[in-house]
Amino acid sequence: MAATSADAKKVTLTTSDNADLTVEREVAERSILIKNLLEDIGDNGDAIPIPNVNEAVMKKVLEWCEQHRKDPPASQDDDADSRKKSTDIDEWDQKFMQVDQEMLFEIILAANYLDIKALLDVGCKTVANMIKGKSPDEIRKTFNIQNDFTPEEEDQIRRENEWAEDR
Amino acid sequence: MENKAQTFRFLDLPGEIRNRIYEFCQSNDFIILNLRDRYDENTRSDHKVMPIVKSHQGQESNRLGLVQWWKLDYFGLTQVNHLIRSEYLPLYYNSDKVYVDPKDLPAYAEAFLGVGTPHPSRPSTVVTGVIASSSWLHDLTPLLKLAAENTDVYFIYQDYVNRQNRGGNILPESRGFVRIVNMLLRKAQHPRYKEGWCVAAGMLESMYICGRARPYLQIAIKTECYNMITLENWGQTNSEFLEITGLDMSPVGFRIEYPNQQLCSW
Repeated sequence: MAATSADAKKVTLTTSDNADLTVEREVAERSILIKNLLEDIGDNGDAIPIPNVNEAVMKKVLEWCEQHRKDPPASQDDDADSRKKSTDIDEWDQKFMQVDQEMLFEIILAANYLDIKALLDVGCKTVANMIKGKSPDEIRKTFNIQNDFTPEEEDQIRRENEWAEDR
Repeated sequence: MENKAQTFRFLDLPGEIRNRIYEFCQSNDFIILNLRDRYDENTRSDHKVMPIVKSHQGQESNRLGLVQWWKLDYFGLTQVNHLIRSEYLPLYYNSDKVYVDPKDLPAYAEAFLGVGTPHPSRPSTVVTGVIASSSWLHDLTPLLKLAAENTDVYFIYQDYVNRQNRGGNILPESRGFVRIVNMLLRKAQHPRYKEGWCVAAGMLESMYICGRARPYLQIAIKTECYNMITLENWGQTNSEFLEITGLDMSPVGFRIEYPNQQLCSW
């Protein structure tokens, strides 16, 4: 069935668990992956399969896309100074990221897959802020990581720890 | 399942995403490193010395004797496990300029430049000179050796304390330093030395020793001293000096290049 003019700007996404989510095209196009797909195949009204993202995560991602639908597109220069990036996150995004750890993990993977750079950065900043100020042991607990250092590495670390930093 | 929801599966992230996270884990411009026992000696007893600490809000500390201690932002990440350490440690140190007291250079080299077990991380720049304990390096041999052995690292020798308040005291000890610089000029048989150039006490701002590509030594003259450069000091007038060097930077400097083996022989 041909899309009516009222529906013209909507697209349907089929998630990995076969849920159909219909959103405005402008919102979906925050994802560069979806944007490119729509440009390549044309908007013929068919649902777009998103096999790597389930419904719960996709809904969450689309919530972010809705909020940021009017943001200017990411420029190529954003990566120019990759060092010393700020970990500041705006208030809405901070609240958005107050999810359980598994959801945070899934959002980051989905943002990467869907090519939503700004959302990926918010996720990465959230993780960076989880690391900030923590001791190695605290980080191990946060990420459930085992200490697997070799005796040589332990020795190296011991030497490093003979130094104190200040600025 | 509940446990799964409480733990972030950092190691299950693709490496490219971990790298992206590491890019956000770099908040510092530079680090001053002090051997802990020496620092503890010099630190007031009511200072709480944390296991690993740093402070930085973008400005250099000008009260080196009373440094505030802050918990290090991301140092913990360098000592979590083998994989994360191998991924993150090079980024952590490469992003920083490291300040080390001259007398601690050998210990620093052992801990961070890979004497013995190669260290997975190296700083891009090591700055030494007058730091917390006000020592002054009279013998540049260790520094030159380090520069010759670590050609990927910039070594800078500078009057760190005086940088805080420009125009401040010129340490009398710098005369010894000047002698060494003039000796290097002679040793390098620099053309300018043959023309009668020499450096006078108090004129030096810093000295860069770089092993990259071709080893060189760069001596920076304090800006305020530039106008004091006389024929006696340089054998050249200011304008001629600029014309010859073509350098238009502050502080004014010139570069002496000499072969690697001479560096090593020092």
